[in-house]
Amino acid sequence: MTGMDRRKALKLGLAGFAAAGMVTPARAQLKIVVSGGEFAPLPIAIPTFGSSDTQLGTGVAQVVMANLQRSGLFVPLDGTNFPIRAGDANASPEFGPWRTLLADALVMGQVERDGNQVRANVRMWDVVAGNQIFGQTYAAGAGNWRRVAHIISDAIYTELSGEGGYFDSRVVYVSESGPKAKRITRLAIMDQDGANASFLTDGTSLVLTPRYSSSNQLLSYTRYLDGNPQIFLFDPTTGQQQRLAAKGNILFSQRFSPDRSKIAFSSAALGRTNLFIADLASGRTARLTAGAAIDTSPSFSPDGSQIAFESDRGGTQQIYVMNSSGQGARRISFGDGRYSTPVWSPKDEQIAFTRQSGGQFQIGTMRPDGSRERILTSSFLCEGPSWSPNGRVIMFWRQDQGGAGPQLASVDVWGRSEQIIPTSTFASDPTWSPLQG
Amino acid sequence: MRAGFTASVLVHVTAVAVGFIAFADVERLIPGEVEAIPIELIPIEAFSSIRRGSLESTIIETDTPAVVDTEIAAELAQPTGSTEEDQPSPENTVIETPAPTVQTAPEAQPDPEPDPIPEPAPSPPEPPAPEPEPEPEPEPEVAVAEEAPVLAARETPTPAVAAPVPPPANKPDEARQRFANREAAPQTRRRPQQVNEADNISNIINNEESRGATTGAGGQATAGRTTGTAARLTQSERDALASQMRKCWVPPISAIETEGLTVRLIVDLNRDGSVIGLPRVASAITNRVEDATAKAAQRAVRRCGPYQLAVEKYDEWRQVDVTFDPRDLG
Repeated sequence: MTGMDRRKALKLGLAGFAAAGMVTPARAQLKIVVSGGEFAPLPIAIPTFGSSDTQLGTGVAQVVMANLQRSGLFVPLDGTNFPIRAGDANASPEFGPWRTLLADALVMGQVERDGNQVRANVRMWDVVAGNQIFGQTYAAGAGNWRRVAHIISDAIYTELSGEGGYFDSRVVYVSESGPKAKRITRLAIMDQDGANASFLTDGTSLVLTPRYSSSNQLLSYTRYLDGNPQIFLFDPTTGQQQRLAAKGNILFSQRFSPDRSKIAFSSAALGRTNLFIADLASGRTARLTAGAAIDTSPSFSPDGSQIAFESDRGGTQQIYVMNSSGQGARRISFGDGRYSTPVWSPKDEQIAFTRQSGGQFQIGTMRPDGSRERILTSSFLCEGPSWSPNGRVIMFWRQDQGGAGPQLASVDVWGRSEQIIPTSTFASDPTWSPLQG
Repeated sequence: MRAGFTASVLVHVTAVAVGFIAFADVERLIPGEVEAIPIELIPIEAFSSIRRGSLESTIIETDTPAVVDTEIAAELAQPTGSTEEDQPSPENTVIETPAPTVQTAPEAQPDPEPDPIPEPAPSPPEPPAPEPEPEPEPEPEVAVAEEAPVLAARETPTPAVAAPVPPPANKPDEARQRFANREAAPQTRRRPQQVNEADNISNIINNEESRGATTGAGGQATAGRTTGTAARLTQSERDALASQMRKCWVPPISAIETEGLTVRLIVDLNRDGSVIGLPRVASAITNRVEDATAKAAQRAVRRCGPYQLAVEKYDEWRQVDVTFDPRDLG
């Protein structure tokens, strides 16, 4: 009896002791700070997607890898050493071999055609921790299997970088062909990686400065009509277009407000070029700037409250910011050279610009208050920056000295991974669409 | 010769006179007072072991009861020793009592224990005898003596052990009470003012901000850490651990743009320096960039283990609180 009691008491005591030990691990804690750190692209393993159509499985994996590689934030690993041939989205992988390959993340996917859809099951694993990061099913129309790959790329990019993706987007640009003296310019559209390119206009008249709105179905561009530039609205999905009904012979350099209800543009008359704003619903036009200076390239801030533009009112071309009512213009660019084509980032923290200095053109960014100017790339001729939907990559056009014509190129906001976007013709004036969603 | 002497005297006198006048105004040289700065050298060990006060520390309930709060009935102290049994009368023994010696060396004390064993008194615990002889209260008044025993006998179970209040209902006590009341009367009149002053003082103390750690109202925290056992690992050992982790630390590039972004991990380590499980994220994650940064930090910690650390200091580094700060990113 007493023995029982003692044993019970002993057990109870031990349990209590153990519980106390678990509940209060509070002990001397060593505190250290790891600061700095070298950025290096993240090694990621993407085996061929499992599929009954091997071509489709290989294709999707390759598009995903190419996207991630081009972003500069990832290093897709070479598939020849992979322990498996094709991915299996339903099995939990054996992490050992992937750790020896030094992969940080592993993407296992399966893709199948399903009626008029392409459907992919994807799981991403954290190889180091040995747990799942996400598991999702993605689908797109069967005619465009690359879109599935772009959507998967966006999901991977978002999870690992903490930024929104940008791969499922398109780019409209001015395609230039023919001899220099008699160039044929056409609007063309392609995926952001250069695939699926097609022409939107026929090349009978000179076209300039296509600009996406915040919708995939609304674009504006400038077209020469009887020798004078005019502004057109254009739906790239249907091909419908409409001329902006604003008075003036010379209208150009247009850009949408973030809510697509208004369009700001330049109008030249009597040797003066000023900024105007047109309300698309009512067709009413209002003046934003007045004076003898040349004011062009308006670009709205993401909340629509401010407009950045270029002006030579101070003697040389510089960037100014004013309220969207036209009041309170202040100069923000104070570096060497001439600044032009300001474009406000969709993330609101930066304005991209073109700078001409020292016989070279540069693409750079600065804060909306003019601070933190950063030159991302420099070349014989480069111009026309356009932001990716996530505000992390800038596409522009450039022409090398002695080059026959312009090409599209992209660079990220850290000035890294600059590359040429392949096009079938010469290309200039890119404008990046929002995510297709 | 004479003229020269006169001239010399005159010139000298003039020079001395001019000197007196000219230098009369010169400020006196006062040596400046230099305040000495006392410097005390203490070992770093002592400094890092300073314990910081904490308002959140747990209050440990001790078993010592307050004197007044006891529920045990007070008992009168009994005289120790037996008074009813015959004490053994001193015997004559053959053993000689050692003669006192002059020596004062320690061995001279044969038995240092003066019988401290609290022997249970053989006498039954008697209720206080009706005899007035065991004076129960340390009452200095002789006048009370006559009535006190009765009162004491009746009241013994109830009053608190150390109740210093004399039993009431005595005439002299009444008188004293009246006197005390009379004395207290003006005091009660003064009282509100005093209370106010006391309040003011406590306000001043409570709102005093230079010692926030004690009053809880801002101010600077006291030195040290609440644990009192701050890093006994040397700075270079800690740096070595940090640099081992930094080798694998690849923050997401967008972390640079986010100013002030840091991520804290709690890392549990085995004795061989390997990481136990997945490091816990101790900072609040409010957006995707922080989430991606925290995951990158977790990967870094796991990938770079096991860490090279001094095994004998395992208690110091069995749990490490690591702050990852992606600033100064290339």
